[in-house]
Amino acid sequence: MKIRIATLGLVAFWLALTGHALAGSPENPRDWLERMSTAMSQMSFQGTFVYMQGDDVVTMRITHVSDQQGIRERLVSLSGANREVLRDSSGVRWVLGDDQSVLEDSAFNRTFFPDLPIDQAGAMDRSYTLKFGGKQRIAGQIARNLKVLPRDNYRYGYSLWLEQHSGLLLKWELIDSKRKPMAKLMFTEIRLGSEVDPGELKPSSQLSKFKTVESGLPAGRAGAQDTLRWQPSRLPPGFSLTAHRLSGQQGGSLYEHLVYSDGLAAVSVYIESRGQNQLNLAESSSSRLGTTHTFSRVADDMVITVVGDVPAVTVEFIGNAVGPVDR
Amino acid sequence: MTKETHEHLSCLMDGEISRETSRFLVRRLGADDELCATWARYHLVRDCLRHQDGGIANGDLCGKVRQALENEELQKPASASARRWLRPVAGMAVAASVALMAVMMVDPASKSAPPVSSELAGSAQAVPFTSPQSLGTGPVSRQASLSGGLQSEQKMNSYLLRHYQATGTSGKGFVTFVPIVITKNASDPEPVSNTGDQQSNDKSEDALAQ
Repeated sequence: MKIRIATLGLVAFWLALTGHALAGSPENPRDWLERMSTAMSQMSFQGTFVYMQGDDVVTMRITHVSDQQGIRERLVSLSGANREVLRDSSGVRWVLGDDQSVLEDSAFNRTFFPDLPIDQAGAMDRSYTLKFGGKQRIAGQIARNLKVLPRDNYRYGYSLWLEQHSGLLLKWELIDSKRKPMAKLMFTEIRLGSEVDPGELKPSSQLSKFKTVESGLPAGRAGAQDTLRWQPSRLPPGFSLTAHRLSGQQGGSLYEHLVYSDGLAAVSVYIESRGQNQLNLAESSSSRLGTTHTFSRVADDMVITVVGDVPAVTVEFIGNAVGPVDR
Repeated sequence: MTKETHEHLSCLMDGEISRETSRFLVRRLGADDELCATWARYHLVRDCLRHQDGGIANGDLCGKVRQALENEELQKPASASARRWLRPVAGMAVAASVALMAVMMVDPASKSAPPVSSELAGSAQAVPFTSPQSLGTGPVSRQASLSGGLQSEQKMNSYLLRHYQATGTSGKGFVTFVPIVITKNASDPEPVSNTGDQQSNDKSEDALAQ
């Protein structure tokens, strides 16, 4: 009898434990975005993926290690241009193998900028519709589909396939407001945890022989509302200011970096005094780098540059709205 | 081409294939025109079924794959055989640790960065939440290039790098940095064509969507 009671007690305990686990398991799409963010940062993984945009197909290799030494990451292209991005606690290095140069931004400090998108409570719901799709097997893992659909033309949407337990991103699809795919990324093989070979963090290029180029951008000081020198008079719906860095003075050499986010997509606005070597800049111009759009214009001898993984119309909208703050 | 090859190709498209077979097939795609044509056909059929115009079936995909393979620097994983037997155990360990994490996870909001001050959040007025009917989908720019010399190109690269650092280290993680790795010449961002009217705008957006 005692044994039976003990068994029943164990079963009740197990049920309570699993019940708690089920109740705590994220079933909300937003929670899955949180889970993806945590997995992409805190898990160790390594794999090969294919990136497709238009007619371009690029094979890439990612090694992401999270351990006692912090987060170390190496992203390298296996086809096309010889490029790498190396990321560790000391910062990010952009290796341009073809040019035998390395671009560094030593003044950048991660703590200057809040994490995105986690801190934008509620902002996402105004800009996106989130819903679950089906399940799919990708690179040997079962993945759950999460659709993040834009509510207007000012932002892109995403179709994400997340590993069913960890939330690790296995397939990513960028879609426009008409739900047309614009770019895709999919792992063809992936290793997790102890299977990751940290040896692949070592750069393939001979970095020591490469020319190191410093970004030259100042760190700036944290800005508050009353310190804004320039800002957009209006913003696309859902976007709000999340970070501001300021250096120099109006009338002198000024540098301002404003980051706007809708809870998922982010746009950087740079306002900088026009240098002597920028006298021949176009009055306004646009360009695209992969899925990143840029817009730049000159106003009052200042160069305003907007950069973001958003449609061209969004960077242009913000760029044209930027002006000096009246005091 | 055997029925088995067809099945493998279909599995590759869905990402449901072993690493070894995947490598073999991708290599073969770079050399076998018939296989390439089938691969493109599969994508076309799938895209049509999903009502996805364009997509990766368009263009000379196989030529791109072939070219990519020719340029590819092979990186063989170290001691793969030694790890093979570890994989199921390691996988279970990861799954177990993740499951445990799910049970023990605290409120995610509590671990996020400090909230943005209301002062900052309200610094500019957002326009009403409606999709503008007259919204052009492409840029309205008078010049096609940002380049005002090497200094400007480096400046743009610096802006890009800082933007990705400031916005991309959480959320989608490494995916943020993909654009600066894939681009053929990062110091010369691909210009968007001169635009100014709606027709041109549509064209540039279509080009982006391809």
